[in-house]
Amino acid sequence: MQVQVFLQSELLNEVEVIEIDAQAGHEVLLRTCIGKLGSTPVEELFLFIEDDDDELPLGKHECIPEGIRVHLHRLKVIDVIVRYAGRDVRRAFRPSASVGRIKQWSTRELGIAPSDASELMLQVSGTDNRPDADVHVGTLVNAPQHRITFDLVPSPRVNG
Amino acid sequence: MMTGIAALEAHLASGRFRAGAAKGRWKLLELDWPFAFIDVLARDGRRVVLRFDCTGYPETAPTATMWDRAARCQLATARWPRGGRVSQVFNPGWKGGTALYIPCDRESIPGHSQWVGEHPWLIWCPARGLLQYIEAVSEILQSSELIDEAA
Repeated sequence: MQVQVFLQSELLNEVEVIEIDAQAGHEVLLRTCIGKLGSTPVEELFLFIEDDDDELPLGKHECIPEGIRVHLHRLKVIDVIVRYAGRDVRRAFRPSASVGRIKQWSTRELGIAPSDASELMLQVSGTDNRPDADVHVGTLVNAPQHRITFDLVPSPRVNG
Repeated sequence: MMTGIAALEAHLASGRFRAGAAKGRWKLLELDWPFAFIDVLARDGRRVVLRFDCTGYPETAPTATMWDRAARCQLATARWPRGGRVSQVFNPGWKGGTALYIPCDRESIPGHSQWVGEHPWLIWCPARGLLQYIEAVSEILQSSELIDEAA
């Protein structure tokens, strides 16, 4: 049975959709994902499942799940800093961590109530880029860079 | 660069659009050029149907209104999403409800030059395409200020 896999990577500008046999296994999926890159870097590439902290996550699945979201990156972890109201929180995430998950973690760490958190967004510090919740942090960090800083900012209120 | 329906079809076939659709965040209901009918999931579970008029796409931003597909007309005002900042964007009093009050809507940006500085990520970007507008609407509809439809 063929399944769809959604691939993000620091080395891709778009989300790639891969059709692959559900029984293909980790190595075949990894090679297929690498094949989607315009050119293959000399460094080793690692494959992670969205919002999963395991290093070899496909091992816990009997087959590749339909619609799984994966990330291909040269780094295993990215150092993430989130700043808000003069405070900051920090932890390492897999490159496959979604912006939505990072926001959820950071607002919890900062003691922000869920109702207030839904009125905040993550913005890449020093830019006006507010990535969608489904964007993987790895797409925002190109190796050897290994750190990113976000600001928690109010969601837009369109007035006047 | 592709233009017109070819550009729109390419954006709707993009991995990013398909990934969001696979997650249930939005769904293409119908493409009847220059109109695209797309529903977007709100925080309370309702699916908000928007009719995008994509005339001049992608160089010209689309404009969107709330749509009643069964009646094939603009959605009745009483059924528009409302509450806090949601009501700012989904404002049936703005241009008779024919456009959302959001910077990436072509009918709303004229006369609001300050939005370029205030909301730069919401200013229409042809390369990002319709997904820019859809993602912005998706974020707004996840606001805790949205009044539950059942209320």
